[in-house]
Amino acid sequence: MIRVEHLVKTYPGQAAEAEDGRLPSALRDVSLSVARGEFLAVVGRSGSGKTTLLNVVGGLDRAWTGRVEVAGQDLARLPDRDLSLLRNRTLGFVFQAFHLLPHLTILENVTLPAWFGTSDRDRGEAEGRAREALERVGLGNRASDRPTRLSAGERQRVAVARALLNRPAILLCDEPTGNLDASTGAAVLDIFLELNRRDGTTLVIATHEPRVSEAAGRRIVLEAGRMVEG
Amino acid sequence: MTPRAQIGLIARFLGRSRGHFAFAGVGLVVGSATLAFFLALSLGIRERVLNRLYPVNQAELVVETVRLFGLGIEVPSRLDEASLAALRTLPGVTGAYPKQRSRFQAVLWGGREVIGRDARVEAFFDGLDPALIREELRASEIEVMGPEHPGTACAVDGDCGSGGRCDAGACLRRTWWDGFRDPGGRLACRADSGCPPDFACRGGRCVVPCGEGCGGPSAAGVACVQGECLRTCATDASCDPGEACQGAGADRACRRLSCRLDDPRDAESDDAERLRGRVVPPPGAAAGSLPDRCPAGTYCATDTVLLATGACEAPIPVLLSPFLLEIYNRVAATALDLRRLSGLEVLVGVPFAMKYGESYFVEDDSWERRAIRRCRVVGFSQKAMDFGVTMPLGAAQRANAMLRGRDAASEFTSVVVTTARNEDLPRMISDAQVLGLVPAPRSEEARKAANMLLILTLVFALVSLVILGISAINITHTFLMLVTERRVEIAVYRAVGARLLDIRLLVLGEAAALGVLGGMVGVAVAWTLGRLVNMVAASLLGRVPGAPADLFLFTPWVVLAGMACAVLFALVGAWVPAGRAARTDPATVLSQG
Ligand SMILES: Nc1ncnc2c1ncn2[C@@H]1O[C@H](COP(=O)(O)OP(=O)(O)O)[C@@H](O)[C@H]1O
Ligand SMILES: [Mg+2]
Repeated sequence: MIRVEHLVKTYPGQAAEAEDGRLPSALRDVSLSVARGEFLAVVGRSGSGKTTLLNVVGGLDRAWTGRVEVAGQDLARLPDRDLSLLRNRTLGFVFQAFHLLPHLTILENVTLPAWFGTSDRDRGEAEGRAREALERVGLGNRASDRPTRLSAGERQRVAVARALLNRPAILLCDEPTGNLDASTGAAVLDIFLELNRRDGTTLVIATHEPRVSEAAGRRIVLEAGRMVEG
Repeated sequence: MTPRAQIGLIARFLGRSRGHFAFAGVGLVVGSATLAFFLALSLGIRERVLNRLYPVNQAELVVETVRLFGLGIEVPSRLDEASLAALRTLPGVTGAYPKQRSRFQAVLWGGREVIGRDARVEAFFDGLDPALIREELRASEIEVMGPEHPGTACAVDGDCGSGGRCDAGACLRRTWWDGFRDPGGRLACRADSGCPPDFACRGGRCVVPCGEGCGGPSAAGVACVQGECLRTCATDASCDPGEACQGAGADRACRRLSCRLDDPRDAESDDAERLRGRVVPPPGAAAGSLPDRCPAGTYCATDTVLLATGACEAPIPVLLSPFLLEIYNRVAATALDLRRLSGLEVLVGVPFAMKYGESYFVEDDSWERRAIRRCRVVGFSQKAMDFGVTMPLGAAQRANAMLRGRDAASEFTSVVVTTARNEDLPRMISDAQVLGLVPAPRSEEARKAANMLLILTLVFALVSLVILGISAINITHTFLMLVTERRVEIAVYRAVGARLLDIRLLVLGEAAALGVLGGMVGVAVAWTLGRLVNMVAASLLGRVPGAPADLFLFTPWVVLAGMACAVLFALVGAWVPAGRAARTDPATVLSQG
């Protein structure tokens, strides 16, 4: 499902500052592959390159070297149009900071991916799927509320529902429980586990919480941009 | 992203930044309002003032006063039928309509019906070809007197007021414009040189001799009867007023009725009955076949003021210049303590009399050259003489022939040349120069006025474009701020599948929507301002004859131009912000807590 080979990511300015003892690159020669239906945890300390890795794999970051293949497509060769379609159809994102849009209702937030699809009919049917996704994260009754009226845990569940709208094959989650307390974090984690087991969704979760990485089927460890384990 | 999704998303989010947009949109509103306002004003003035004063595809030509000596070009000193024929053959020319001014003095009296007592003034007049202004007269009559079909139902003519007709159950009011044509008349003469061109003196009166038959443009129903071209008829109804269908067999034709007044001085009378005189039957006419007196609507027009004999004629229909009414109301009515006239319509139908050959300013003509003719106002035209009256060309030619002979009656003062298109005019004018004809000062004025208007329009269009340009800069600032403010939103769109192009189009789409709204409001503001200006103009100018009630012309093109410029400048303003939005890096934005 995901194959990464010799991935090197250098942020602008990083290489020049390398002599000051700082990292020369955010990712240094990372190679890994994730099979369909696998649950992979990416662990490592803050600043180790987890987010960077997810951004590259998710096609949000295009400035890197190496080879990245997602769902059989070589990201480096995809034009923006196809890469956007891949994000829309095949990938789902969950961020540490939720990133719900405050001017939209819960339902509209969840329906958002359908606006950027390729067919008007699909958009018409999206509301049904959005309600389904909300049911799935246990928020079916909050559809018309604004995100600002939800607790942090509920917000993250809405974000998960948004990621699920187009039934993606791969879910990329960047510290999804980082802003949640233990019990709400556990509830979100349960959702992920069920998705992975029941639907066979491929899960890649960046985290520094042992609780999450222990639940994963496999884990890799990043340290200063290098894979030290996995 | 589909176009419909694009539009849907823009429509949903447009209201969100109302405050910013209202601020950014003010410039668009002001700019497009300025543009639409001045475009509409310029079009309105061109269409409703300039074109009326100086129609675009017409030019009035006069004989060039400066001769081109020594250039080998023969310059005619006259504008006559030959010059007209030459003009009509020029490329692009659709018609040449001559005008002829009176070549003698006259005095005029009448108007008691409308101003309270008879006015007596020195009269000037000219004649023009009725074909030139028929449609214009009709349009201005409708403007002043309302539609020809007022929309009232009727059963008989009596239901439709005086002069109205009942036409298929609906009233047709009395119309005047169709009355502006030469009513015909008899001209006494001693020799051919006392008759208008194409006429010959036979038996003491001017007739159209048969020559090679009675051809010509108005030949239908005209036949050669006893050496004279006359209209054939079955009954009096097919003859001009003052004529009767006389004779038998092949000789049956319309002939003007001879008449006599009881006393030559009766010609000055205002008693309509006395003016009708007595019909003098021609020798051999069957007793009782002719009316006793000149038919209703005609009077006995005597040959000179010394004679009691003459022929039955209808009053000459004349046109007045709207300026005349204005001058009268502004100056004469006040100075002479006369009744002011409320509008043009009260003058329509008013009768008056003219005495040819008399003057308050210069020496009178000899007695036998003076004659009295009756007239009636039938309408108003900018083409009418400003200080005087304008009659059908034939009537003016008859009068000039009567007092000054054929030469005076065959030379025209000016000619209005119409062309198929406005663009044909300059070429026609340069072609006409070879014939010794140059644009009349009035036509030159028209061109200057049109050029002036064009320059003013351009200046104000430029001003509005500058305003729009400033508002575009304003929009750039506002949208840059908005794009920064919406970084997260844009990044989320990218994450869930928005293309770079989608982001760019969303921003441009919002700008376009803002442009459409701004343009609409702008055009509406311009329209409202236009109404206000109309109202102010109306109260300042009072009722200036011929002044249009609406100075503005909001054509679909004006509306479109206002809107299109607003949209265009909104898009220009949003171009850089749209690029900035598309460059928003989702990875950076979304990774930040
Ligand atoms: N936009 C950026 N510009 C420059 N350096 C960055 C940027 N984002 C992350 N980095 C650097 O790259 C390294 C990896 O960061 P990140 O992938 O965010 O780590 P993690 O998610 O594991 O905390 C860090 O040293 C960080 O300082
Ligand atoms: Mg991180």
